[in-house]
Amino acid sequence: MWTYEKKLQFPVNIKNPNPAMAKFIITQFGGPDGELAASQRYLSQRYSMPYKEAVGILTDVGTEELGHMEMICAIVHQLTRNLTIDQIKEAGFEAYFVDHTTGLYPQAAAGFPFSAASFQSKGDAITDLMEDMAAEQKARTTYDNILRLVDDPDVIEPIKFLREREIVHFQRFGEALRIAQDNLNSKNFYAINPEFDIKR
Amino acid sequence: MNRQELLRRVQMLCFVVTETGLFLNTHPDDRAALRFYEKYNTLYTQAKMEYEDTYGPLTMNGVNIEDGWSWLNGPWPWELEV
Repeated sequence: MWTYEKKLQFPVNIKNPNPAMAKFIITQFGGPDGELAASQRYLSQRYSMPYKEAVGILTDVGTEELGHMEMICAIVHQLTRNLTIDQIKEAGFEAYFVDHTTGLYPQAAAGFPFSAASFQSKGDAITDLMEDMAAEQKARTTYDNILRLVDDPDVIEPIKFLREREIVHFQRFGEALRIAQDNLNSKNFYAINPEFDIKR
Repeated sequence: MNRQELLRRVQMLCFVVTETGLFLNTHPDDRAALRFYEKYNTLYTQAKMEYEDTYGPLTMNGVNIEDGWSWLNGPWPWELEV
């Protein structure tokens, strides 16, 4: 089970609200390559994963993603503090505002709500670890795109931290994939699915 | 206590602490509940330490490196115990 720690993984202290930035940063909360999808992907895949190193990575990275989701929510919350109706209109924040006021709702930058259709749990170690590596790269690209669009150092610093974590996670998933392949037939990694064909 | 018994004790005390914490969130000035929380939170902390000393880590912070990186050692919570 989980317990909650009353702290962020990396500090978020944004002095100037900016709902125009919040509109696209929220995609890392509820978008297809966001932190909610990442956490649920890894935490769903781990149950049938046969290799303890990969189980450890899925558990610990999945848990860290929950902390990243909290950081993104803190960023979006601080960017939408104390808004006036004029600021909401100027930023084009009306569409979000009318549905959620300034509450946090998991949605993509384009406005569609979070969907579990944005990730897989395939029950095949190679397939799932390949997906996980791709997911980390997709999130890294998203953070690169966010960094192209923001100019506030209070936003840039935590986003740069999150971007760096994607790269570290990609590395660890690559190592987990190698460990999985070391356990398989080196002449044909696909001869069996170790999550189904090896009974335990 | 064997692993199974000590784990049940940790689970029971963890639940008592969680349940009391929820109650205190909506009754933060209840002196009796505060004392109850303190008593069981201490027992919970002790039970976790006793479990980890004998049977390995419950959280990553509970790893004793003299046992190597025991964080990966089974069983994971969803695995059937033989």
